[in-house]
This record gives sequence, structure tokens and C-alpha cells, in this order.
Amino acid sequence: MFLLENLTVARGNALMALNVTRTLKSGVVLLLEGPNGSGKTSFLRALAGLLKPASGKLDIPEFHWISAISVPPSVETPREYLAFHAALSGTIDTRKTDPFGVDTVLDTPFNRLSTGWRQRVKLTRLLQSQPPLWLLDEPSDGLDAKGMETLLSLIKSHTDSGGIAVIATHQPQLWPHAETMQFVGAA
Amino acid sequence: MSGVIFTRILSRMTRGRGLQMQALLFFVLALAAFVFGIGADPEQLETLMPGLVWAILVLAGLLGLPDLLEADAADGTLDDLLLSKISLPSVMAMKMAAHAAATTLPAALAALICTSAMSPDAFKYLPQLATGLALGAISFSAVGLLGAALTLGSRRAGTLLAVIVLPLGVPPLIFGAGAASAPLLGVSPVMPLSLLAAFTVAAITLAPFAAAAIVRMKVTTP
Repeated sequence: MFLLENLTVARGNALMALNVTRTLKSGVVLLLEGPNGSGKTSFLRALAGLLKPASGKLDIPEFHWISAISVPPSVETPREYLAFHAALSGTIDTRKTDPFGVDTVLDTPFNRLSTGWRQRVKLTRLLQSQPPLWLLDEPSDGLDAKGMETLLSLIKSHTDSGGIAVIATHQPQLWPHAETMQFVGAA
Repeated sequence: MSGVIFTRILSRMTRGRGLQMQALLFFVLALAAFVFGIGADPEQLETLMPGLVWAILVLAGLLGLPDLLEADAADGTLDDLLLSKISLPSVMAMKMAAHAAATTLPAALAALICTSAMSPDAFKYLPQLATGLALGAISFSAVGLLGAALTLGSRRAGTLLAVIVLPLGVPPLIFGAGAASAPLLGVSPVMPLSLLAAFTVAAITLAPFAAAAIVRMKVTTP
């Protein structure tokens, strides 16, 4: 469970969210919906502690942060990328499963992988540790139907086991039973 | 864990962009340009050499700085670093060490080799020059890190970087060039070397903390 109390988020002079009070219980998916530039990412960044809220309190547990910025097509390999991110979480890459199938491309440089494959590698970070909260910004970007299916089942198994997912998305139809929070645009 | 993170930071700077080779080539070509400009009179070269190599080392320290933090900010890595279990000052210290390993230390190595090759009396001041260059290379990377943090996200960051970093590099430049010239002038190099060591210790101790505070403030301020 985590708690947001009178949370106000602003970016420059633009107000993105005003006095949000919300309790999220285990097993919940919260969708942040709204048009481009309405403040979904800013709100998500505020939850992650990457943007100082203008006011209010939040009490959130450990989390995974997956941003909307795609992995650049560099000479780095997925193996190095995953080892680096595991190290950042204070662990080593000891995944037991490979739902996105990235083990087949572990040593292929990112500059030879498509956007969808780079997204699959990024999402594989979700399997490296098991924090109770996932903060996902447009996680389905670039994924094909099979990748999308894998993502949905991964999120479902996370929430079924008591986890919480907060997702900024333009595809709310993928999570028909989720709680939602609407963003209308900067004020 | 820290080893994996440092390796990645270093490889992002060097692999594909060849920053170490750039630093070496920059040093050799810049020194050659100076020598062509001032003429190959051995006596004149002897007097000017310590100052020349130090001045070029300061400029070589600017290489790689625009991307030191900016590349991480552009692809979201900076957010991941901020959220990591490793403290941000430690990450900044790794950035500083990686910059030294990729640019200033290779340039310092080139400085030693070029001085030995071009200056007939180099053996007189080579130990002082080598000690000074090693300290100076690290302190230039420390002030460079500070400059990279201060200009993060700024327009015209490249110009600002030079304006911030070059003045901060003047004290080690004066102490280092002074220490290398001391044997030629018949004075002791101990004082300039001590001052250079003190500057380096202060810079590498404080710069990671200062850079971490600046980066955190720049990223999280709405």
C-alpha cells in the first residue's frame, strides 16, 4: 500500500496535478491517462522522487522505474546493459526466466536491434528484482503483439502477487479493470 | 557492483568514440602546432616546454566534458543513477575517474613522451613533470566534472564549459608548470608540487559531492 496526500505537481509555471490524495492498495493497477503534455510523466517522476512536488506528502515503497526514453542504438550489448542496471539495484543479473526472449540477443549491440527489441531488453529489468511498486512510463511503446501480451501477463502476475503498478499510457484499453487518474493538461 | 558501474561509465566514453585516442592525438598535434609556430630553437624550446605541455593538458581536459553527464541525461541513464542504491557522489567520483582515464591521463602520458623526445634536457625535470602531470590530470578531471554538472541542460553548454573550467584549471597549471620549470631555474620544486597536491586532494574530495548536489538539484527542480 502507498499513500499520496495533497500532492501537487508543477513543471515550470504549469500546474500538472493539484492536491491529489490517494491510497493505493496491493494488487492495484493505476493508469495515468491524458493527452500529450498533460503531466503524466511529471506525475510519475514525482512519485519516483525525480521531480520535487510543489506541495504534499508521499509515502512509497521500493520501486522499479522504467522511463519512456528508449535505449539508444549504441554499441553496448543487452548483457552489459542488464548487468549495469542490476548493479544499480545493488544486485547481479540472476533472472531465472526470460519472457521477452532477450537471451537470444544478449550479445548483439543495441545499434543492430530494432526499437521493439530494445524495449524488450529495457522491460527485462523488471525481472531483476521484486520491489512492490512498478512505475512504468509508456511501457508498451514499440512492442509487437507478442511483446505486448508478455508485458500484460508480467504486470498481471506482479499485481496478483500483491504488487502495485502505476502506468502512464495512451492505451488504457489494455487494462480494462484498472483504476484510472485523468490528466487534462497544464493549468 | 561498483566495478560493473565504473566499467560501463568508462566504456560509454571510450567505445565507439575513441576518446583516449582523441586525447593523445589532440595533445601531439597541438604541441606540434606550437613548435611549428615558435620555431625549433632548442634553447627556446627548453624554456617554453614545461609551460606548453601544461597549457595543452588544460585544453585536453575539455575533451569529453560536454557528454560527461549530458549523454546520460538524454537517454534516461541519469535518472537511473539518481535512483540507484549507489550514492550519487560515488557515481560522480566514478565519472571523474573515467574522464581522467579516458582523456587527461592519456594526454599526460603523451606530454611525457613528447617532452622526452623533443627536449634535449628533459631528463633534468622529467620526474617533477611526471609527478605534476599525474596530479594535474586528475585535478583537471575534477574541475571538469564540476563544469559538466553546472552546465547540465544549458544551451551553449560547450562555451559555458570552457568559461567555467579553464579558470578553475589555472591554479594547477601555475603550480605544475612551476614545478617542472624549477630544476631549469635552479630552485626547489617542493613548494609548487605541494600546492598542486593540496589542490588535487581538495578537488577530488569536494568535486564529486558538489557535482552530485548540483545534478540532483538540476534534475529534480520542477
